[in-house]
Amino acid sequence: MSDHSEEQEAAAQNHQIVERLREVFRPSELRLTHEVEPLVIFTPASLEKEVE
Amino acid sequence: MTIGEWGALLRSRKLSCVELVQQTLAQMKAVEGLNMTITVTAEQALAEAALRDEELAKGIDRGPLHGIPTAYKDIFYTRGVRTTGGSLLYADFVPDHNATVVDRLANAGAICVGKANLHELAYGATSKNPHYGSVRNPCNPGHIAGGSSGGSAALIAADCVPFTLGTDTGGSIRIPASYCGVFGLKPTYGRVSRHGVLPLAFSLDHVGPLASCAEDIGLVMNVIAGHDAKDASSGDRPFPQFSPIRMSDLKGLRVGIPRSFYFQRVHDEVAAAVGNAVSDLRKNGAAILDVDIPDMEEANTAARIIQFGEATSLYAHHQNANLFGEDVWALIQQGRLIQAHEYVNAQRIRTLFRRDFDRLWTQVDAVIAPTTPISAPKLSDTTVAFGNEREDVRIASTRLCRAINFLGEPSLSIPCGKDKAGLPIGMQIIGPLFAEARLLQIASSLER
Repeated sequence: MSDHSEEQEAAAQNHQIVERLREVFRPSELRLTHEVEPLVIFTPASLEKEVE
Repeated sequence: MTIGEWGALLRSRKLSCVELVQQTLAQMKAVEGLNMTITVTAEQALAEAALRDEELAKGIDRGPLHGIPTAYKDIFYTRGVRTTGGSLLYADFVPDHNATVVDRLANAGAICVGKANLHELAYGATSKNPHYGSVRNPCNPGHIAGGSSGGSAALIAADCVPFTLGTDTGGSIRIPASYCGVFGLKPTYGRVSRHGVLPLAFSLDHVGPLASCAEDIGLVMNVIAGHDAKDASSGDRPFPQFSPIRMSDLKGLRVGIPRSFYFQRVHDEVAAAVGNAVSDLRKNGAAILDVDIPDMEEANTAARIIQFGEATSLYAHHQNANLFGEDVWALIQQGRLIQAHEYVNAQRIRTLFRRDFDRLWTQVDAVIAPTTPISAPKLSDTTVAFGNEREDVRIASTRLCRAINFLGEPSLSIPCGKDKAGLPIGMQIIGPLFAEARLLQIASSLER
């Protein structure tokens, strides 16, 4: 029983931490226009390597 | 002692490679209570040292690292030697190949004496490892060594080895370098191969050296930098010789001091020590300029979202909390809560910050800042005070480092003094992409 309530408490704390992060993050998301693309993880150079 | 000093003794036959490894192992034994290693490879190291001695006797010299003992953070694959990642998940994992950088250092004659302790899975800044013991700071064993490359930094501070390898996803080379009073370089993203290194967050992970002086960082970079076809993120840009460091005054060099962020919520003794170093740079000929920098809190937030997403992608299939330390399990759980659009938007914000920093580098050649806002906290501390506010030790430790992983720029942490308690203070020299040689030159001018 106490294990279960500890788990619930930890889960609530995790939600709270991520929600706080999200609050700070939202204004950043608002300054993104459609033209801003993510930095890609694979590059033309790495794709060239794949077909070698 | 430095790599160059040990090398001179080996080449003059005043000391053999076997004797040097024996001395190293004896020193590691003398300070084993600091929990700096997970595995010690004594037998293998002594056998390799004998081979290096035979080579020197035949006139075969592999270069400055010939016969020099080192240790690798225990997330670098070492063929036939277990690589635990500081985790129960990999407690019995024995790789069948070496990380590319391990191969390169072995070919250059370096001798691995063991695998360094770390924060579990490299996911934390304290190196308080619940499975393999907390790494203690050699400057004061009641304090943390910092993390996640805690053992790598501590082994140098405890005079066991002259250099080690670490990894840095949100400050994990620079933070322990700062807390232990050694040098630690996070190179440009893509400069050093990550092949054969357990990942934490693919787009933030960097491999780099720790050492007791700038010249030794350069010597190791000469060996480990450069393209690796086995690592898709590896760059193929030619690189300069990092060592010997080009000695000249700093005339014409523009050094930026950020007006915001980096000197806020920083302990007075830390700010004063960094200020003294800046005065020395001015005396050495550098032009010191106040600069406006982008919103680094925003960059830190986006970097944390990326780290959550990427790290949890590696461990999401695990459901058994008992296999993890409490703090690492909590971070994995928090990562499950990040939504796909948030991760992608964090990567898009990264694009904006890259543009901002490209503009910054038209104004200055390097930026100086504290590495950490504090000296090493006590092992028992969970928070640290800034005036009336308290901040989680983990957040405070990473606060001034994390955004540079997000950006990919190189950053070198160097010791710049001690606080009243005798604990080291670290400052970082941040430069444009691929400007590691310039950072070493600035560091070297301060050492002189």
